[in-house]
Amino acid sequence: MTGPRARWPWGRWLVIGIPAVWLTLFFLLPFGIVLKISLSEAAVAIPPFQPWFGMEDRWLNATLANFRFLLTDNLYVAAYLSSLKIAAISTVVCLLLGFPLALGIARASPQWQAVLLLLVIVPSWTSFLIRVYAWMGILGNTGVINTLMLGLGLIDRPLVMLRTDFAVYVGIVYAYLPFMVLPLYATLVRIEPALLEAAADLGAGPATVFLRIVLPLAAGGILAGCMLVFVPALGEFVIPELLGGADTLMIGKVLWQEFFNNRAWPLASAVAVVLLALLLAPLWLFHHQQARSMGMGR
Amino acid sequence: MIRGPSPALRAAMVAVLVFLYAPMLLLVIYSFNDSRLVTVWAGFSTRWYGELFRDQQMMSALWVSLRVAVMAASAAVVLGTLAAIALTRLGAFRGRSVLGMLVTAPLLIPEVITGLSLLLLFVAMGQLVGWPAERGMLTVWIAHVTFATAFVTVVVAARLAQFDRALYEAALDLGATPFKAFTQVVLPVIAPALVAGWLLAFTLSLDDLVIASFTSGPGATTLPMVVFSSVRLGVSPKVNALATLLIAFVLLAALVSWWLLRRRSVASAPSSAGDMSRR
Amino acid sequence: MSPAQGFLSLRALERRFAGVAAVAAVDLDIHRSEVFALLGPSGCGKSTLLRMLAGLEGVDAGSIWLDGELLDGRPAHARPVNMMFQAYALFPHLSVAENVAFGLRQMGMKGARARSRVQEMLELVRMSEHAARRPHQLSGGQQQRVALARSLARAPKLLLLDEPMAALDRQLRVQMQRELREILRAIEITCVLVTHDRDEAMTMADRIGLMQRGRLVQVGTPEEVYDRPRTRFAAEFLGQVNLLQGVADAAERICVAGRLLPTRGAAAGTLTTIAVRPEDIDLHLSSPTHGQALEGTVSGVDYMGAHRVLEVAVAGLAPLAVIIGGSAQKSPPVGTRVWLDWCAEDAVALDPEA
Repeated sequence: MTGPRARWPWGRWLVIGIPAVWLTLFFLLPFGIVLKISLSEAAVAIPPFQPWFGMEDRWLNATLANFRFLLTDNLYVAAYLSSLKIAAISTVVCLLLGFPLALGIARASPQWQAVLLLLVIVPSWTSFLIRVYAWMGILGNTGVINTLMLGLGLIDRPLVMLRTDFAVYVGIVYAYLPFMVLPLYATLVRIEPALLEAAADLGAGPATVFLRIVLPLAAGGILAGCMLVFVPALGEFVIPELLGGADTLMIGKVLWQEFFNNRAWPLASAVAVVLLALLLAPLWLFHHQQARSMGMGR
Repeated sequence: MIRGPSPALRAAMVAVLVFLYAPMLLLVIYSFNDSRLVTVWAGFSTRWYGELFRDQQMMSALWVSLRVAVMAASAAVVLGTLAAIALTRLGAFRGRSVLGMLVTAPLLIPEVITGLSLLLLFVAMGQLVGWPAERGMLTVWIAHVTFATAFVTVVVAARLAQFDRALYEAALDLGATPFKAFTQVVLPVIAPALVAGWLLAFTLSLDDLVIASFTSGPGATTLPMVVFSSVRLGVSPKVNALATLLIAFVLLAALVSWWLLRRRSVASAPSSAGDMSRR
Repeated sequence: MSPAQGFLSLRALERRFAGVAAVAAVDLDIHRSEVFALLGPSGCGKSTLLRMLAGLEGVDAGSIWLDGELLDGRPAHARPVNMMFQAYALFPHLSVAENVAFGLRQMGMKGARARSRVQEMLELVRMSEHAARRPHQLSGGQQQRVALARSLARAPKLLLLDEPMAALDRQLRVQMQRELREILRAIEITCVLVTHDRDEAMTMADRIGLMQRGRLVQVGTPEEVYDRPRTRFAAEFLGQVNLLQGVADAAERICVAGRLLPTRGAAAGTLTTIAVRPEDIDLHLSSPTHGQALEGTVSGVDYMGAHRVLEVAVAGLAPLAVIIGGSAQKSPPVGTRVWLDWCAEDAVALDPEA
């Protein structure tokens, strides 16, 4: 239903145009440049890559050398695979920890729901960096856990936990858990208690009710929560940098090092292009879900 | 009727909440430890707070971060609100789904990619048009506006999708031009979502390390960048003090918002019978 | 020069959605100070027509004249027309007084003049003591009064009411209908209201326009539309009715189940459908002397408090409904043999429907 068109058609186009121009200029265009530079040759210059348009014999200085290098050098393939593994395992752990919490909140009284939700959200209002940093003092060789266990005589040498993959898992799960709980809660709270009672009335035991009723109805929230954890975890830099060891391979860290430490801008761009390609499928899914929740389907 | 959580579920919830809060509680405790070594308790002291406030580098980085965050959040609210209106209230137009994709994509693109791509853009623009000549607060601001706009759009669009169109039409019917109907009716009604979007954008900007590291330049070091370089090598008591102040501030904000929520729900409770007649 | 005859005149109005006509070929003249009800089932186009008057819906063809002025192309905010929205659409962030003042502020009316106008409007709807409240603190009936005050504040030439009682519960509805009608009469405003409730249309309106599939099918006073429906749709929409088919003769009689019964407006020699309201049927316990009555058996009795509805089975016809008074007339039990007839005025021949 639309009324007669407002008398200011330019107003309509300003509303659409301003964000569209901004995002095209500062979001879409940069990706084109990343793609372009990933196809350039590195050079000892400022900025450290060959000029865009060939001054000499070739019209366009394009090369697939960076991508060839990514695929042949074991470091990069291993880093992608290891990132996928770490992100996937962290996502599953988040789901296992987050589901009971979300279910418990959804079953609490309305007043408690508000309080518990706030308790879940508040940590994400404090600094991400600080929350990751907190684990350095807990997991270190002279950290809380080791000091406590040494003091109790449970161990005689400190356990090496900081600067390991284990610490990276702890950090990711800790930092991203709220993003799992919130969408789970949002779907679980919408499940009518009468549905569960009806299932029980029809002879289903608690396990059957959970598997056959609760899980299928919560599928959308599970998917959303998993993507909100998996996708950012895949490109994570701060957590592997602060908590991981020298041998912790994550693609975000590799990109950062290529860019800042080695000044290999074309290679870093190629790393980004491949990472983006890996993310296309989940991004597409997420976009559709967002579009639906914004009511854009109407 | 609604069943409360079972005892086993309650225990699991408490365990997960302890997992969420224990690390932050430990930071608060450490921040009052007189010793530089984290785990050796050397008595209660507030000396790290004093050192934090005397740290010129941290204080000027905080000032940079606050200015960038306020400006970025304000611009993101404007852009995000426009985008949300375009996506939810203007009906169909060409490129609508492209705009929808452009707006939501930054939510999920890894920060390293956003940061890298913006830096490359700024370098390319500097070469081609001579602007920006160098990177600094302006480029960090642009970067933060771009990724915070996505979050604001989601928050505001969710509110606009529930907005009763009849309110806007009633304003037109009562003689308001479309512009006045928007500023006098739509904006005040969705104001809570705008405030929530602003606060979200503000915290995102204040907290960002990765994108700022890529897009910042000399003289525009943000607080997360300073904190990161000081904790990279190990635990720092000054950062513990900073973390404690931040946690205290957030808890205060949480308490205020909880109190406001409660007050509002109490205020609207007596009219729940009348609510049935409202959409 | 205006071709208009009424205070409000609609000429060949049309509105299409995706090629389908939501409003088609509507011609209508409404007098000054008249309360006119657009009545019809949901989806008949009545709300679209109302929104076209308000300027909230586009017009694909035709014209709207109000008090000698052409409204075509004028946006909603520039029309001397105000609407009371279905769920009232009170601004939740403004108090009752501010809601009423909203339209005045758009006209540039401020200060003491605006305050006294707001006060006047709130007194009219008896809401003065709630001026400082917010809409969510009001009951449904109070919200409706505020919405009415708000839409009257600008002294519109035309007031539109969109399903005014839809958001109220049944008991409140009857009381508010009466209140609203009294206020509308008192201020002598021209008003078009939309409703799907025939009782509401009949109690509130001077005239009713019955709509079906985007078209006005019959316009008249409540009595005219109820007593002399033109089509089967009109007859059935306005209330319970018995429909009987037969061939009419030259003496305005129709042959039903082998009897010649009186009717009105039937063309001789054609197959005609007549409509008879249940309360217009005369019930006899013995055959009337003229012999031309339908003979049947009482097959059901529904006690409705003030009256009873009998179901009478007549051989060769669908069961007929007959309403008889509650206490004055003792109801014949099921199985009683009865005879039915009616006066010519009460049996209306219907147009064959398009």
